[in-house]
Amino acid sequence: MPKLIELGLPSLTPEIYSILASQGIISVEDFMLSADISKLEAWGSGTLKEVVAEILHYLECQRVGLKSGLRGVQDMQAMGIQYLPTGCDSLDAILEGGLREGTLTELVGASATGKTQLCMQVAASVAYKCRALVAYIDTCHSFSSIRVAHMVGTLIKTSEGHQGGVAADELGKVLKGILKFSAFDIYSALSILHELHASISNNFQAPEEFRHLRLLIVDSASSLISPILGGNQIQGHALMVGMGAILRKLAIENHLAVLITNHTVGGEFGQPKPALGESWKRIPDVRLLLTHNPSSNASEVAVIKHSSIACNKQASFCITKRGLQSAEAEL
Amino acid sequence: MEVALLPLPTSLRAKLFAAGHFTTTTLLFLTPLELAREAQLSNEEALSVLKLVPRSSSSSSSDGIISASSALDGAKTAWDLLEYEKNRKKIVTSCAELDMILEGGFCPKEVTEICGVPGVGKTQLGMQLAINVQIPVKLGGVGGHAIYIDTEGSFMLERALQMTKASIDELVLASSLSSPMDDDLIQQLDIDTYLSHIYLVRVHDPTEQLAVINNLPNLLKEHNQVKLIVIDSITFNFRQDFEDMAGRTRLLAEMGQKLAKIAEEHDLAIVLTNQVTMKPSNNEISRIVPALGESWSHACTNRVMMYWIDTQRYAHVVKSPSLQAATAAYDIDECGICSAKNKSNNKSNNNDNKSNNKRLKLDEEAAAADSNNNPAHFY
Repeated sequence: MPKLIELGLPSLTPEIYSILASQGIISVEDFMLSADISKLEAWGSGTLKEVVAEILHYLECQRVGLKSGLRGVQDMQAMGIQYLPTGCDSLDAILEGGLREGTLTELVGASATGKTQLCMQVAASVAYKCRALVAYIDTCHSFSSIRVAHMVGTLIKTSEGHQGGVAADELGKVLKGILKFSAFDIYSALSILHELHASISNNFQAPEEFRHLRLLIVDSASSLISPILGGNQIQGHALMVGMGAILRKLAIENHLAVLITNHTVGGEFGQPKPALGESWKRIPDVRLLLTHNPSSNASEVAVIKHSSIACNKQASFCITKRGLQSAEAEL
Repeated sequence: MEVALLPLPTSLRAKLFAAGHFTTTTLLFLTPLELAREAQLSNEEALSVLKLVPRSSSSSSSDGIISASSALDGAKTAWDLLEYEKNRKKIVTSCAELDMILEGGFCPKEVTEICGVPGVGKTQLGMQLAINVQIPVKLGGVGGHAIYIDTEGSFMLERALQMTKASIDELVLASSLSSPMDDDLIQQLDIDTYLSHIYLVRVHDPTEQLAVINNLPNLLKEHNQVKLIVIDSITFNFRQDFEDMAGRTRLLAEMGQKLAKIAEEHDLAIVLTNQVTMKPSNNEISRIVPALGESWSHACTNRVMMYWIDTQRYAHVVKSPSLQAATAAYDIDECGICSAKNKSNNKSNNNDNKSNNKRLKLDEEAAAADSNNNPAHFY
């Protein structure tokens, strides 16, 4: 709980602060626990009453109000929550539109199944089709801007229907909307995520750059967390949960669509299961499992967790020179 | 942000908790002296804590001692990266087909893993790259030095000398054809110069290997022209004597992340060689897979698998964010790595008799069985 002096309350003069401090009230918590408000108000001058009123107003703003379901739906419609197209039609079809803003989607898959390719395709698609800003946090050098440029070029050509070259300034405009951050350990990733959250939430002073941010990709979240998880490290679990918390905050409070990747470990009967353990399971809202089918050389995506879609849907795509091409989806 | 999420030693964290600082909001407006007094820290400790507190650009400390360097400053747009990626110089392999499947060669800022059965040419490729990284900039090369971390003892100085001589001879011939060589170039294309720019480190156990990798940033400060680090092999020290497999996975994951960070910050290429193992499975035939397990597969940017079919060596790009899955044939001769040679079909294969490859001489039945080992079985 912040200290009273930090709230920036206009009527909290040093004299009043010292009066409160002499009563042992230094932080907001102290105020809530020990202050007898009527006694405080009766005490002193009108300014003390104003201070109390302002602190109470601050507490009101912090409180998350109760909402009825109808009000919730109305708020959602007012905010215009959208589905961001992933650039792979079969995947958009099974997700009923694409990646939903305000949700955290996790891509789980073994090595070389197409996770990074899908992440780059989603980045290209959202940057082009939604003219939005995409933040890409890369932990293992898997972001290739040449590859993303190919994907954007294909998207431009298909939408404008010409086969010729793509104008450089058109390509440049789209590519300038994809920001890549490098983070190789969990602490640097956490500071990037927290600063992103602070920059966007700070309404009055949000930098122009981050106002159009709609999509955040972390590839891969598991390579940040697995070195610190397990063994004698008690801090590791706390850091993992902290990472999950800030990712969900970015999704819910800042209305971003967040996409993370995770790898697999051996499970029962040799079936691969997602890494990072049981506690991580509740963090993503949507979980997609990618597997590689060597006979058709396509990658298959299956929904293994979703709050509103049945988990028997599958889509497949092939990785080609021009990007990801949908193959037939199986429902 | 919670104080628990900052990289602090446990004792420091405990003192901050005791002083009532659980979130960084309470730390934002403190000066180091105030914090030191409140939490009973030394001034240096207080300053180091406050430096870690993330500050948005709107809030800054009252006296300006703590500079606000935002974590968001390191962002680059895809457009800037495209310019960089198009113009970066790659390290060639001396085999045109291999260079083609790698779209030019080995790139800086990337960690590439080369896996293969014994004798297929991993160490040879590592040595060839340590030589080719030194091709002068005037001749289209990277012009950098190399660090070679040898864990198996397979770096042979005589062979390196042989390959260096061959490479220099070829470069001298190629450059003198186009234009007369200047003194600078003559000085660079010298065997002693070449060998003095390969820094050889020999490690004997996993602790030493981890220590060397942890110390690489210091080594790179002294030798700042290094553009390539070869670790041959990354697997050898980690394959035996590890009771705690989960611990091994963690160590390897951490090592992978450290290497990725070094590659990015110092703008160099890292090449790792890995061994292979057999993975048995119930319903399919056993496959050859890279060693160190599934979790290690995520540590490298690109992965190239090398294997034999009959008497021909092949390299196959298995995993890469930007390269297509492709295969190339290559060979190894007295000059180093080279393009695939035409092999005659007669039984007495003179090439194999003369060459020093580790591979056992196979009879025809085994060679026929070996031809089933095609790339579709790897993944």
